[in-house]
Amino acid sequence: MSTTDANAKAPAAAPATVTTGLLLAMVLLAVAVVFIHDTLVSAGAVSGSPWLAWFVDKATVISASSPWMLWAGPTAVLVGLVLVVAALKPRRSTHWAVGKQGVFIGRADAARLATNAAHHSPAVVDAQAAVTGRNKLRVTASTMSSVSTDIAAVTRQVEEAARQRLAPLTPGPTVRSRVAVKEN
Amino acid sequence: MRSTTRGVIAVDRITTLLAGLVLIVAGAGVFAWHQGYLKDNPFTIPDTQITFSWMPDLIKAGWWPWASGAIGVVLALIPLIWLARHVTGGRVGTLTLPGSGATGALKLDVGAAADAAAAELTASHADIRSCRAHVLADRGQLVAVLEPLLEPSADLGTVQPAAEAAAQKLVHLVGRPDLTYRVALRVARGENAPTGQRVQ
Repeated sequence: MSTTDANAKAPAAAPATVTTGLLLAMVLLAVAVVFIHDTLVSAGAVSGSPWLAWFVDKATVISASSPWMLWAGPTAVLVGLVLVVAALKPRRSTHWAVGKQGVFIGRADAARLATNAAHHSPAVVDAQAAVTGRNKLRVTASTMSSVSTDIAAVTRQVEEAARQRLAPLTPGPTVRSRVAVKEN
Repeated sequence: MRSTTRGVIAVDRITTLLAGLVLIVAGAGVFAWHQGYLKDNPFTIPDTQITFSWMPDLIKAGWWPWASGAIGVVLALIPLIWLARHVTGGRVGTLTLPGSGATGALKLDVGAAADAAAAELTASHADIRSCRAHVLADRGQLVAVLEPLLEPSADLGTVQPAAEAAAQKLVHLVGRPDLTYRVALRVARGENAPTGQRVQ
């Protein structure tokens, strides 16, 4: 029985258009409510006046001198530009590859591994790693003055520990660290 | 990891793009008209005002309530189906296997197969605390997704081949030539057990 060798696509964030699509669906639903409301008013099922009649009253004659056009036009253009950018924007990558065969790790998850690795460095008393860019990781660590005052050495240790832990990542992120010395 | 199917994503993108273009054109047109830039336009747009005199007659017509109701129902159904498609995602429950034909169909509960693969992977490696697994229709591909939760002290060098082997085994077991796999490793926020008790 043969199976495909093709790898699945890498994980990616939901496209921005999921949000805009949901918003547009809600707008359409709101318009539907207006039409259904007017039908129910006509049938006598609900009391009140038709909402579309109010809209028609306002929209039958549109004057070029209406002041609302001065802000509504540019606002519509701006919202339209946002929608066009959202529609054309590619999905954001959220994971780093581990090896070459369909294994990935979330960036924040990789940062947790790096945090743990830095914690296990001999002179480190506290450490926290964070993703700072598309392919960058920053480890902020601290040591005690009674343990070590050689910041450069501890920095190297922390970076090496994080790099080693994340070595299977392809390509591996750039690891930078900052070490602070705490007084006893 | 919830996935939205390719068709829903395409509909989202196209409707968003169309709505954006309509807003840009309408907004620019309204502003230009207000400023008097359209005086010499080729479309014979009136300079001072536009009258939609048919609108009051339309909503006073005897058939309008029926039309309004029908439009309302259609306009409600489209977004409701649209929203439902977002919620249901692309998760696949059963798959038809090769060999199915007019005389009968071979079906596999891929959810159960994926769960079994996840349980086996969890039991096989001390660095894997738990694992979720499912099969998705994702961006035009049929994908078996494994999501192991690792201990923060996990060794990626040993977890990666184990997870890869488990995913390949699941794909082989299902036997669909179009099934691919993806392993998305997750890392727990805190250590579950003291490191000294771990199998080295």
